[in-house]
Amino acid sequence: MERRFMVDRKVIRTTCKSCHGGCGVLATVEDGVIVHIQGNPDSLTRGTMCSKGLSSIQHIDNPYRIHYPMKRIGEKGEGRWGRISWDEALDTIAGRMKAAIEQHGPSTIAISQGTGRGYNRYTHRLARSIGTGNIITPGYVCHSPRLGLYGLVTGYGRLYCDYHGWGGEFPKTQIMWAKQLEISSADSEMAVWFINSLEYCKNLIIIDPRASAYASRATLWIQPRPGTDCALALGMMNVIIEEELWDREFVGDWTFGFDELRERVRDFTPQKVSDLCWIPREHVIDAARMFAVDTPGCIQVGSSLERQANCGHTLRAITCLLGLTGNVERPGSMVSWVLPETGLIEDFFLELPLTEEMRSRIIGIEKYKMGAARTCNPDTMVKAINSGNAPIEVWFSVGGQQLVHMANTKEVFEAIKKVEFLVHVDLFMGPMAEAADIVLPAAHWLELDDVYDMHPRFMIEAHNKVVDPPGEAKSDAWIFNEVGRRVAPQHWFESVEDMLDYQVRKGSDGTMTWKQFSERLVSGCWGEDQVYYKYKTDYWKEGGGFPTPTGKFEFASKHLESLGYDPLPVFREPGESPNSTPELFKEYPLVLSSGFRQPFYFLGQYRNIPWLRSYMEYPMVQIHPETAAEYGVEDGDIIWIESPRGRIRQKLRAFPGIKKGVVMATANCFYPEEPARTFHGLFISNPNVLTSNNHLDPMYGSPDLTCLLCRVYRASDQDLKENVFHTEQFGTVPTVEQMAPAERMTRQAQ
Amino acid sequence: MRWGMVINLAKCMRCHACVAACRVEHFLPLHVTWAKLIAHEVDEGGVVDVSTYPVRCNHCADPPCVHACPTEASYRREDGIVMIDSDKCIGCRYCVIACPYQNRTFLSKDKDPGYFPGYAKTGFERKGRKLYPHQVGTTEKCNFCVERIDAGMAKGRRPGIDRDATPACVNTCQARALTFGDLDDPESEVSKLIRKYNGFQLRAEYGTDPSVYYIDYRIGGAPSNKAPEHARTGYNMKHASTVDRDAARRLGRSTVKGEAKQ
Amino acid sequence: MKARTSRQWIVPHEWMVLPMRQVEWIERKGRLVWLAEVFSALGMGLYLVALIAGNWWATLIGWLLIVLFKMPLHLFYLGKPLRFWRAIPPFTKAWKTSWLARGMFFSTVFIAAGFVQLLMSYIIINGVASGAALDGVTFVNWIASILAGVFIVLTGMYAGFAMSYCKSVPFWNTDLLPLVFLLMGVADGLALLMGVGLVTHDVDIERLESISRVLLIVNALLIVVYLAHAWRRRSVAKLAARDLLVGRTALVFWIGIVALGIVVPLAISFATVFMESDIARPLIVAIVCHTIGAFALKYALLKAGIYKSVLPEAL
Ligand SMILES: Nc1nc2c(c(=O)[nH]1)N[C@H]1C(S)=C(S)[C@@H](COP(=O)(O)OP(=O)(O)OC[C@H]3O[C@@H](n4cnc5c(=O)[nH]c(N)nc54)[C@H](O)[C@@H]3O)O[C@H]1N2
Ligand SMILES: Nc1nc2c(c(=O)[nH]1)N[C@H]1C(S)=C(S)[C@@H](COP(=O)(O)OP(=O)(O)OC[C@H]3O[C@@H](n4cnc5c(=O)[nH]c(N)nc54)[C@H](O)[C@@H]3O)O[C@H]1N2
Ligand code: SF4
Ligand code: SF4
Ligand code: SF4
Ligand code: SF4
Ligand code: SF4
Ligand SMILES: [Mo]
Repeated sequence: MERRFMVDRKVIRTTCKSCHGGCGVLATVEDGVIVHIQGNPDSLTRGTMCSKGLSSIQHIDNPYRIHYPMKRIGEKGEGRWGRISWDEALDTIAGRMKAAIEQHGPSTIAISQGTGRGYNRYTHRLARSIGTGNIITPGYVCHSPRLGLYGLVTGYGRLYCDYHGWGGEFPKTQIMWAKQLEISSADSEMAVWFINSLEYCKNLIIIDPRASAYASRATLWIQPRPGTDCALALGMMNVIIEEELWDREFVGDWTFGFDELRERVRDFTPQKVSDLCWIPREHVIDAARMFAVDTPGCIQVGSSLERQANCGHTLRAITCLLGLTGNVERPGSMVSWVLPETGLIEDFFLELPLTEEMRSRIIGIEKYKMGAARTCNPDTMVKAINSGNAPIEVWFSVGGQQLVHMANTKEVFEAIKKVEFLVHVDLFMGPMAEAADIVLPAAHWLELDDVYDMHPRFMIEAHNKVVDPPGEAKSDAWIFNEVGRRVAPQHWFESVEDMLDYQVRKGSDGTMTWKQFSERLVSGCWGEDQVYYKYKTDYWKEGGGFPTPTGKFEFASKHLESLGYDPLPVFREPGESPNSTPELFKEYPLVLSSGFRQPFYFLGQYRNIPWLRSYMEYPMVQIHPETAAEYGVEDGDIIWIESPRGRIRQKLRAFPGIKKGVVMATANCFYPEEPARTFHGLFISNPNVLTSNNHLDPMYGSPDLTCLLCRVYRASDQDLKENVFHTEQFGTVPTVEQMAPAERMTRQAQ
Repeated sequence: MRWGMVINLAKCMRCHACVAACRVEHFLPLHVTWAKLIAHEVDEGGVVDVSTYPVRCNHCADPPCVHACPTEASYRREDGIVMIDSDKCIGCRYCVIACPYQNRTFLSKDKDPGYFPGYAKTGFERKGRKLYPHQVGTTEKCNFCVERIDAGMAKGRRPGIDRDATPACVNTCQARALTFGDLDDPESEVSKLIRKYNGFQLRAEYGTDPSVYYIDYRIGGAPSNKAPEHARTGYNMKHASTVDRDAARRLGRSTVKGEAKQ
Repeated sequence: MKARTSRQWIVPHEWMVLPMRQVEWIERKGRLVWLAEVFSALGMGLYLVALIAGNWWATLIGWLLIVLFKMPLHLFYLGKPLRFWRAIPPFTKAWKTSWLARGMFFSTVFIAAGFVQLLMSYIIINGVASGAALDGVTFVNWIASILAGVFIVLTGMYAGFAMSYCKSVPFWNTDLLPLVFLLMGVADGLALLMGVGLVTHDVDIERLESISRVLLIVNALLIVVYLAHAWRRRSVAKLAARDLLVGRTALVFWIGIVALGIVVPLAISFATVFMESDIARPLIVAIVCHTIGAFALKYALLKAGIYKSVLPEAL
């Protein structure tokens, strides 16, 4: 009993980044051990948290974590590692970078990251500070096309759905287009806010070949054939124009190129769209009417649209749809947020210019002028490496599993194995780590201090350290700063604290320090402080207008035209589809999409978190029961999914909520428990084994990840004998004997 | 007073947060879950219904589990919460079998191999053994977070209204699909929801009279999209925005603009 | 095929959506419950039949089956065996509602009364007492016999009541179940008593045979009625019945219960009518078969405990 009085118990306020979200967190620590975790009620997420954030407690003391810097002593994939000191690791990395700069120029250094994890600005600053524009990110299949194309009409500004109610209105019509915001909290949007706004919504339209959580309760649920969304958007505009439903005032006063647009959509009649998208024609008409009549409205664009080789024009079409209905900058429509007082957090890297020299050496820039403007085109890089010339000497990879997430795994695998010197920073051993020469241990968000800026929106938040990282693990901020200090000291800082002070310096009239900010937890601009109708003020342009060449919302984009692209949206079939490759379709009679998130996984992550793994042990593929029956596969079967590139196995879930003839595979999956020599089961279930990197979007270079062709059949008993589908114990972490030598090393090093 | 929960099927998006919150709150052993989700997916002649039923102990008013228990280890409190006294439970599992909703779990040794079988227990687990001992060999289930309710009420907080007297799963649900409150009070939020949306109980025909109700409706059709103050993002924060008002006015048109234009 | 059995503890996709079977009382450690229940039936049947037939050795064996097998097996099964006393009145008042507490009570009373009965009849049979003492002993024996007789029946039946109490398991949720427990148990008892008779030679085997014949036919009919009843309910009870007839437990049902438990003993029983000489051998076969049948019956019944889904529209 007395002991209870003596415990040292405190509650620490911090921010979760187990996904893109940034929920406010209260972590209770007793004698240095986290004993409770919950949402912070005094935050924008109102005290709620999801399963990933809550289960992050199992990152602490997780025996699978990397504890020390290590260097590879065997072949790649052999999993043999030797512990080294931080000094040795950092000096080696800096040495290799300097050598590469001297011998081949700084552009032969690539800096990579995975999806945004709150360190994007460090990745870019490091690259720019050492003089390379070759940053590798999955942005081109994730979020960048949207931002860039919205940017064509709003300058830098991004467009976000205003479901905050700050302008006094919530959206009357909401379109959830290839997005499951309710579980993905993706792209600067949060599930909590979205779901709250549904109370005030008249029409909820879901455009998804597969039932997401609210599909069967939505006002209208449209199930297009994957990869045909551009046609649907053009069809909706056709209806709006034919029925004269467009916003007269906005289109009349503030837009450019209406007549060309009208011409462009003329033959996208509901019947034609119905034939292309495999949907009833009424759906096109109903959606168009709802969106044009019941305004304000907004469109939540999902990244499944960006994982397609016509993503540029699909997003152009959707943007035009917004303009046509006047759903821009009006309360309850799509709005570009005013920044927090601390300013644009991206200033931290934007302040270092991307020089013409750097820009000219970005891989892929000649071809993908929108996508490869600030980062390289990863698929072009892979092809270049494989074709024998070595554009990359040193690859510094922080988070991110390019091996898993890029199209055509086999080619990516070949290329990455060829890289001279690869460093990977991570919390756990995964495929990228196994291919690296040096692995550095990263801290979890419960173990670090940092500014959190998940996609600059109207706020930034603070991560406050709750417990110490395991072993010698360090925060990504520290690692970036240490590497930066060794290679480009003029751009980096004495300490992490200095660096954080520098990032929040603009707050409170230029006097805020990191310490103060970490107390305050959030700096943001919301409520009455937001500004709507910016084009009617001189926010963007003196005297009003849009920050575009014409000063108008451009249906026909001058900028695209000047880059040599069609200024108006064009529909193109996916690289492989029943229409574009009818011969192939006979052999591979099903449409394959591989983009849908699970609420409890974050891309390739968390299969080694037992609480999260318990929800879905094996990657699951959804097929309609009737389609499944047609191809002789049954619910619960392990099936092969095959495309011209290869085949993978997933567990079949006969799901009545999916369009017939469509196969939806779980993406971003590898098996942390599988041994190093298999690169942690890289090829077993990963749908990118099936995807192609030959057919890319002309603007962004994005491959077709969510619209391909495939066939399916049951895996034989022999096929199943392979380890992965029957590990004896539920435990997701193997015992020491079963462990890959790499993990054994780290464990024994302790 | 009878504590109860209303679960909104229209809102639940199968995120599993309630399951996770319950695990954190009660230091649940690896293979034990008190809150569960049931996937319901049907296609009836082209009409597709994809729903998720979050389930947990129903805290039945006429609980078969309590009637079945030979030791009185299972009992029903005055306030309707059905409890298991794990010091009395002999582990006969009759209640596990008798609960028509399958909401009880017998904690056998193999359900508690540690979070990382074969490795040392994590700090969270070690602390948990002290703060919330789970007795191997007894039966357990959702207890409506009775610890939170009791401790909260002792401090004058109201379950279902104030967070620290409200079940963890209810607090964490991002969809606000879970509502907690007093079923005996006709003015409580739960009673109102049940009336408004014709709340129903699972398998009411068993006569168990569950305290967990379900409601369902279609999303959309809201009469107005006007945003009341209390529904706006950030309304709950002590500071409406971190930009101080005067600065905002100044910033609103000048500085902010400069920054936005990179 | 191991690879296809998922070891997930929560399978949101399947859990309580597809009909689930109970596992606690039949799988892994739950097999102890099954064995204990078999010994309940055997002990109950043998003790009861022997009591009526007045065979002391057989009553002793019946009593021992309860004391040495049924009770310890139940005890070992408990998660907290040392706390077993909590389930026994007066330490618990749960007997008001709990069939398990009642069962504990029935068993305890039976064990006590049975002990007294065995002791008293031993005294009587062996002429240890005489005169007024003998009268007393006879009286006590009489009371103890009635008590033990009544409580062994309850002991043999309570599990049937406990199971039929479960509304969510339609296959069990019928008043026929306790009756099945009783009648099948008595049939088991008859068989065992014949077995005892083969050793002690003081049993009228032929009479037992004729009673047994009737009972086996009655039981066969009972099973048919039971299954027909389940079949008609169009719920998971039908599923359970199908499981027994053609599904996963079909082998146990047809070979264990029908063939070994009923057909073979019945056939042998009819055959022995025409047999002149040594019926011992076929009889032993019949008894063994019948006893296997008793194991099979309880196994199949527990295995068929399939829950109804909790979702409103489902079965
Ligand atoms: N077929 C198909 N392919 C896809 C997609 C798809 O839907 N279908 N989605 C695409 C999209 S949108 C994206 S964004 C990419 C995602 O792909 P990635 O962002 O590469 O995501 P992961 O593969 O999960 O890689 C995450 C890695 O980062 C590590 N990590 C996590 N947090 C941190 C941290 O704080 N610090 C450090 N140092 N490391 C950390 C994790 O341990 C893990 O190893 O995949 C793309 N690829
Ligand atoms: N819990 C969780 N949250 C996440 C992530 C995660 O892994 N887990 N990942 C994060 C990342 S990096 C990203 S990019 C975002 C992505 O999050 P979202 O943008 O919400 O995208 P997804 O869930 O990948 O896909 C959305 C929907 O697109 C549908 N879809 C697939 N192909 C097509 C098509 O051709 N047309 C149409 N109309 N629909 C299609 C799928 O069925 C799916 O329901 O989520 C982020 N948030
Ligand atoms: S939604 Fe994202 S930020 Fe919020 S708790 Fe979940 S993982 Fe963390
Ligand atoms: S937390 Fe809420 S939305 Fe998530 S599964 Fe539970 S009830 Fe459903
Ligand atoms: S749901 Fe089950 S465990 Fe809970 S009170 Fe009802 S019968 Fe008992
Ligand atoms: S397992 Fe425990 S709580 Fe359940 S019936 Fe037996 S003694 Fe009662
Ligand atoms: S009410 Fe409490 S105990 Fe019950 S499921 Fe929710 S969190 Fe768990
Ligand atoms: Mo992404």
